[in-house]
Amino acid sequence: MASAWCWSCLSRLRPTTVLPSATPRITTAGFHSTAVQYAMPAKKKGSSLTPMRYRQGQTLRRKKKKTTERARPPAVGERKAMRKRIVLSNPNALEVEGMQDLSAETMVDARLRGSVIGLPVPMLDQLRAVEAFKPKQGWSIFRRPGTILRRDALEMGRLFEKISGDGDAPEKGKVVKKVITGSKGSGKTVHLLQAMAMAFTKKWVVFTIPDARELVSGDFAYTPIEGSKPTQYIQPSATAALLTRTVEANREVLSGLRVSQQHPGLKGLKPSTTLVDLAKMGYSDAALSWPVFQALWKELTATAAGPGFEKDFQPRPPMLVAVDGLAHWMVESSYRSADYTPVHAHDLVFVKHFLSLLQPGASLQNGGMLLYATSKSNNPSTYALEVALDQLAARQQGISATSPDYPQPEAYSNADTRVLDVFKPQTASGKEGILELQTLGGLTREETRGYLEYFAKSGLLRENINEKWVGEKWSLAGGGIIGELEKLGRRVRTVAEPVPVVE
Amino acid sequence: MGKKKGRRKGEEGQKLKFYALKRGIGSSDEMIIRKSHDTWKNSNSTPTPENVPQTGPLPITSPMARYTPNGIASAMQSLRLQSSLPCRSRIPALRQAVRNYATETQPEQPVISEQQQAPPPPPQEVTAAPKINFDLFRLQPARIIPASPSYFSGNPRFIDHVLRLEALQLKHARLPTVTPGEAPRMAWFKLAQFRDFVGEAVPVKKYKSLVKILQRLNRIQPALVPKEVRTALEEFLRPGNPYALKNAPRVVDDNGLARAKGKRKESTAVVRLVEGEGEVLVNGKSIVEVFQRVHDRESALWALRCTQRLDKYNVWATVRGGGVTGQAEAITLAIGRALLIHEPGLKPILRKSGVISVDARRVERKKPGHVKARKMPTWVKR
Amino acid sequence: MASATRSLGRSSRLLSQRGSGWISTRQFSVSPYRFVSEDPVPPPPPKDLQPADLPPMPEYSPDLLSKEARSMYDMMSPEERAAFDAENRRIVADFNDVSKRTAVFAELEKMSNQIDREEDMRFEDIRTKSRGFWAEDEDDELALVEDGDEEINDDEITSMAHASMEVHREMREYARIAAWDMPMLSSMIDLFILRSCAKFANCSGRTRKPLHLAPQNHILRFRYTTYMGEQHPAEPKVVVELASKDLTPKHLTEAQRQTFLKLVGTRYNPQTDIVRMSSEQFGSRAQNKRYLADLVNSLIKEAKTGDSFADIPLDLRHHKPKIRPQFPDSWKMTDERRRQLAARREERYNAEKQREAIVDGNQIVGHAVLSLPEFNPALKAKATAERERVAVHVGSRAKKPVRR
Repeated sequence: MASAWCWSCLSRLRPTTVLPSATPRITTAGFHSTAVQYAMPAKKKGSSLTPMRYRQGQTLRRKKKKTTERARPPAVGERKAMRKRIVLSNPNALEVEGMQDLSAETMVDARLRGSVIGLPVPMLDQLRAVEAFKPKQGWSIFRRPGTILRRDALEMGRLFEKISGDGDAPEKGKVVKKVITGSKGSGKTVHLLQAMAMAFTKKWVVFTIPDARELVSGDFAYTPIEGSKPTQYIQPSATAALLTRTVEANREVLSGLRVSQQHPGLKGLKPSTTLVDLAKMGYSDAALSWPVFQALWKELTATAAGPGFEKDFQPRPPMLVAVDGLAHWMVESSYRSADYTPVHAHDLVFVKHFLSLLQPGASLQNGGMLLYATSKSNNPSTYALEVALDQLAARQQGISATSPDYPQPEAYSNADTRVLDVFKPQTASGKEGILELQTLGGLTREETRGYLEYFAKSGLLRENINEKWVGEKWSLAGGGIIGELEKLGRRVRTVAEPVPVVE
Repeated sequence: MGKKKGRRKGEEGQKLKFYALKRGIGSSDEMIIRKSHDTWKNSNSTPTPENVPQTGPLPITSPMARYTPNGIASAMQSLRLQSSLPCRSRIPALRQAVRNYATETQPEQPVISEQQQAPPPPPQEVTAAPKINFDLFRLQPARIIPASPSYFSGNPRFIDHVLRLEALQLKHARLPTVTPGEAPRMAWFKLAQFRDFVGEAVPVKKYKSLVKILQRLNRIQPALVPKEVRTALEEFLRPGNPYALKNAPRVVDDNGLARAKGKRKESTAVVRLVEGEGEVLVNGKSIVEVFQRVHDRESALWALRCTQRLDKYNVWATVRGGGVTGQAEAITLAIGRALLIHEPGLKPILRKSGVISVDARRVERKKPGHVKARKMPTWVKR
Repeated sequence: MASATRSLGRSSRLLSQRGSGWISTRQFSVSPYRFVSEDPVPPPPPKDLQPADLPPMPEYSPDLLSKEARSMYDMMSPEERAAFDAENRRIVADFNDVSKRTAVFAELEKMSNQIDREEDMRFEDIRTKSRGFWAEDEDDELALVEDGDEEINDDEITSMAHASMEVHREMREYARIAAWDMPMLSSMIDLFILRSCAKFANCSGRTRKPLHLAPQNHILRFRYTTYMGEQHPAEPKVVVELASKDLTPKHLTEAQRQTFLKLVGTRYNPQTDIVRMSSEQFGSRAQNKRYLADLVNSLIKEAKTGDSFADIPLDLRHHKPKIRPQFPDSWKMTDERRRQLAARREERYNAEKQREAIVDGNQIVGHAVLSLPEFNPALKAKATAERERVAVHVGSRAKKPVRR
């Protein structure tokens, strides 16, 4: 009987030298280079419907439930803590050699454009205090937090330098007001973070509202102010939280400053009281927090000491106010008035205070920067804000408010006039600049390259970062949208295998 | 002979041996067989070369039926039918032969050869018939002769065509040919059209064999095709040559745009591809906004990616209908086609990577009686 | 008119049918005849009087004459009067003489019979098709029963034929347009494209009339609908379109145009600047067109003279703008753009060449694995050993003296 094996067939199994084809190797997977698990959209969990089984008996056969030993569920609040936890370091990631830290020199160094600059370790506590980091930002995949020095960051660094200025620089003490927009994942929040980091390096006082939504979502207690018309509301706990943040972050600066003004509402203030102590009064007693905040603001914007306080007066530093998620302040809040009508966000004095800074007038007397960022992922739709930002953009392009091309709200659209008023045209006065609109786009190719090289140097991206590859990723990320680049960079595709190293 | 007395007529036929006299009358090719009672011989009478000049099995019209029992039976039948008027044999011995029935007794008669013929009858006053003028026959045949030799076959006109084409094929068999792919595309008659054309019910298989001959003739090198072949082939072409209409080749327009369409599932995409720096806009928006998943973005741009052209072109896509995956893969196809307009040399790569292959799958329709397209309702006892 | 007479004729015929023979034609009744009718039996028609039975005429006298005749009589001369009186008396006397009168009547009867015989005065009996029992009381809506009033003369074609002729005429009209106007249309197309921004071409010109763009004052465009000879309820509908900007310098000022737009309301499309109105309230096309034209005129007049509605913003909520993204002009390939792209590519290529080192993630990881002790077990062991060697063994030292 003949053998089932055919030797000629077997001989074909011998490995033959395969010529490298000119075409790139294309695997059977269709149109993508990602792992199969990414191909299928994640199925919703908890679908109780089990697939019907046919050709089986319909009699009830109930399996005995196995009592599996389950781990104890996390304690109350632990899940949320896990969710909100911010991890800033990953010991498994490689340390990037030659990474520079953010400093007064590096933040204006155009040669460093496109490279990732590490945040100085001592500053991390301050940044944590002002809640600059957000849980889903992917700080946890690198050895230490760092941000890319893109063009916008460099420009901002220059602004910081000018405003801080030494001596009698012409732009010292200027006020820059900006609304930051941009598509989703374009790095608006990180831009704010960079601003805070720069402010800390320049020893500014930093006020932040990390999430504007919290103030209007009805999470904080609120009380009406007696005799205000229309009724306005203060949020003592929110104010206390703000004071805590500010003191934690700016302790070094504030402890060097002493009270210099009369504060009739607050008792027990001496000229020797530092501003830290003043703020402490506010967050130790929530009822006092709003007057204390007002007092603190008055102190920080003071240009000269009041009568009787001249002794210890020191010039106040410039201030940075950073707000994230501006659109939430342009709608009616979840709070209700006594007659159960919704309270407009602008009726909350906390919100009103920070929005009034945008108006021309005495906002920041000692100079500084107002950065109000919008969001694309957590964003209530506000027609009035859209129109207002369009108007702002038009003004920036030189279209006068009276021209027919100037965008106007549609007739009968009921655009919120209070919102439109916030962004109405203003004229620059003195050191105060007019409101600007800054739109963040994608990174340039060079910046993209630097950013992806950082991934590779951290041992996350096992690719040859050459021009072609970078260009490809740049296109896939919609023209260098940094959030998308991060997604591309952190996806580990290559199976770990020993790599021959040329010694 | 006596032994066979009790035989029935039908049985007899099986046992009989048939001899036919074959005589050449006209040309040597032509064969006319006279079948008569005279030729019938009893099985017992052994034929000798003397009395039967040439023997052989009875030729039957159908060559196929020659050796089969059925063929013999049918030959019998035809003999019985045609032998109402027995022809006279020139062989006097045979002339006397009478069919022997089982009930009859036949006088014993010795078979005598032609040479030992009895003395001729006394001469009478007989004038010889004039010599037959065969030319007259040819001019005006005595009976109607069909124009086609295949007249008595089932479909003579078809067979005529086949014979003619076969003759052509044989005649020009030596001419050089091209490979089937290079031969000019010809739209031959479809079967129904061909049946109309010849007016006969041509079987599928036979028509296929005809088409095979046509294709063989069509493969003769186009420059050397003889005129007769060309005219013969043209007879079998469908009216209105469907391959004559060629789509205008797509080209890059004045603005450097290559425009192409693609479809997948319910989506339709139109892509304008222009040289650029890798910017992609879908419906006027950034690709990131339209396709949130990296997977979809990659599949949409796969044509450019697998050819490493992602940083060489700008893509302007308009896509309508369907879902996210469908839209992404419709764009894939469209970009692949548009890229072919810019660089036709990329075709093998694109074909291999599957971006210019149309995926014609669509959602299967739901059927009545089914829960979905194929799913049947649960079987319920009672 | 015809239908009126037809209906009259029908009712009269019905009446005449019911006259005497009505009861006898009651076929499907189950009741005996005597129950049928309680109505009085119609009296028999009066018989004609015989000539002998006629009453005698009164004796002639001029006083019996009517007023007009009397005046005529008075105007006559005495001789004529005498002749007139004599003649009249003779006629009366003849009439009053019964035998003479009978003879005259007989003569007349004879003459009429003679005429009857010579001239066939019989009228054709029109046979009515009975519509059956179930349709007896119904109106003859479909005119199934012939009336006899539709006389067909051979000098006219039927209305069906007229309709068919109308279809022919329509077809010919369009054939003429296709043959004569359309070729010219294609020759005008360049000009049309050049100047068609706000104006409309007059493309429904008559035969052989040269095509020309509509003059400046033709700002209305009317649209009619034909269903190619078929009857359709929307046939008389007329639609008018006008671009509101066409009105501005001549008919309206800009402010008045805004008023006009406010007046037309939802009929205004702000994207194309076209106002479109339609009318089908009248039975004929011409009426509808007239109405629309009047409407436009009155709107213009109202915009000029009426309330300006300046305090009310123009409401455009009815229109949802269609936004079609346009291919960016900056992407279009020009020589300049080509040069620019080539330059950038060149620049990038040079930068790539000058770059001293290209970062390779694989190499970095490979180096790290070999050099960093936390990833390399061998190094780790070595480091541990090193540490062991250098480490000061606290315990051992402490033990030493004990050993001694």
